[in-house]
Amino acid sequence: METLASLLHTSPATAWMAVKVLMAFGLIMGIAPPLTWAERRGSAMIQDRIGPNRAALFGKIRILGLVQALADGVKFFFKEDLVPPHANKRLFWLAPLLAFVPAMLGFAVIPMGRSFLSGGTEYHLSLLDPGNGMGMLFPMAVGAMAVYGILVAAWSSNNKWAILGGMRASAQMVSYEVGLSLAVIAIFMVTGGYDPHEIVKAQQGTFLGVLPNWYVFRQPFGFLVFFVCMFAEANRLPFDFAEGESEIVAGFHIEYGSMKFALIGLAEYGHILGASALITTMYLGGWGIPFVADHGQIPVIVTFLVFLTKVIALCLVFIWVRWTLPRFRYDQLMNLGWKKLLPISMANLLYFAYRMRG
Amino acid sequence: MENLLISLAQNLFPIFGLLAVGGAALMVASRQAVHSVLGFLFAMLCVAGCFLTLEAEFLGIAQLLVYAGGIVVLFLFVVMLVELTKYKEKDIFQKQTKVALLAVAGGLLVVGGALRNALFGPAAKEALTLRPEITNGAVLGNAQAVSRGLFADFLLPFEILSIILLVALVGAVVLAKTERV
Repeated sequence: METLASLLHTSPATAWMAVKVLMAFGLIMGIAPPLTWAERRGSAMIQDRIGPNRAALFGKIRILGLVQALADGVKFFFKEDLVPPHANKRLFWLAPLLAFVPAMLGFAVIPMGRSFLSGGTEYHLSLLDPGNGMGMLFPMAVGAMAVYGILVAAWSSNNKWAILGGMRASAQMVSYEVGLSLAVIAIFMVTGGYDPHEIVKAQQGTFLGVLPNWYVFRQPFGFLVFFVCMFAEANRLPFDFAEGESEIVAGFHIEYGSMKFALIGLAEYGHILGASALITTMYLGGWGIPFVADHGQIPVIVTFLVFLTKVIALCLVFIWVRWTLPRFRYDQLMNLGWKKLLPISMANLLYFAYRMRG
Repeated sequence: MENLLISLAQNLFPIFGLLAVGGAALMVASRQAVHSVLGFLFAMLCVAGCFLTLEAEFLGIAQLLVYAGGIVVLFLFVVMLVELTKYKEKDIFQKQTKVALLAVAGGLLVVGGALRNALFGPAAKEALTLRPEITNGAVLGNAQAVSRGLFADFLLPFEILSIILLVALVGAVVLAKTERV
């Protein structure tokens, strides 16, 4: 670390911060395009089609259609940037940013691997060091900001489909946040803190002797609620009321094209990644390897790869669910959120609070 | 480069404060209701930033979660549904300048008096902190400090506030339901 810092003429702390920022940003931007590919090929597999496989580098190298993501990217950059004449131009321009930035920020507190010592100082693999006082509340707060991107995009487009999509999406996201928070509070309570490093530490060891000590096994109902709410928060099927193409064409981003559309799309995949990272950290032991008691001997890169594996596996679950379940009706969505998930997560919270009585 | 970063980092509080005032000014000045709400949102975000620079991380995040994430969303929701430029609501909401000026003047008097007392008045005997045994204790995060304050030191005012909120909630439900009863 010191050599890198001296090469860059900065202090080790600044150099490490730069590395972490590049890592978090690169992780999202590096995984999102392959995720779009996985989404299309996965949907094709599930629906017994072939999926995109025509795009090729130099007319030869196809790599199972993976080049398609590259072609899409190039297309987005070179398309004409249209703003509809009746749109509110400034907000129309602002909305993709409002959608994109929160999707990127949520990663800031997630520990992506074991903390390590180098030259006497301890380095952490999360952008914000532990003990920052924000902990897991930060991704929740930033995730709550995502609704503005959708609302502003919907309103500024001046299009009735867009407004319908935005209204449905925002009502849905605000409703599901309640159950989500209650599920999370149960974890904070049992851990005795809301710092992600503490939460990951609290999940090491075994539960009942045979299972990893993950919260997914210790609080299965909380996990269920959190998992379902994450689909709603990320606006993914079966809760994709923001888009619902068979009902309201494409919903809130109907008027968007070119790079603005790409930013909104990237934000969606950023949310999937963020949701997967949150689920991994809170319920699947974060970077911890199951059944390993002492992580001090395991190389940092292995813990990072374990974290990455869990996140990508969850992303694939998101894709799998999208192409397996049909969309809910709006009243079913609200029933599920307020009459089923909220009581379940409240009961979960009360149960664990009762168990903690002194 | 690092010197620039450091000087920026040391002046984050005034930067966020000025930005918050700018957001509030945008909220008051813009003709378009949605722009107003977005200005309000920006001001709320900057206030959260102010809390963060004062090492009140929990308050900052609570500000984000509750105000920016919840309350302003509902504002935006309502404002988007009510088109103020076309209908008679315009008469209700945009012809209150005199009353508003009076209210602002009264507010300024109160806040200015409090500020004057705080800046130039006699120094308080005790610092405006939570109980010393809480703040000076071992490593307590500010979530603990806030919750001690809420549930131990200021329990009664906190409960009274919750009852006021409950009354407002019930009142809103009653108002909204009148046609059906």
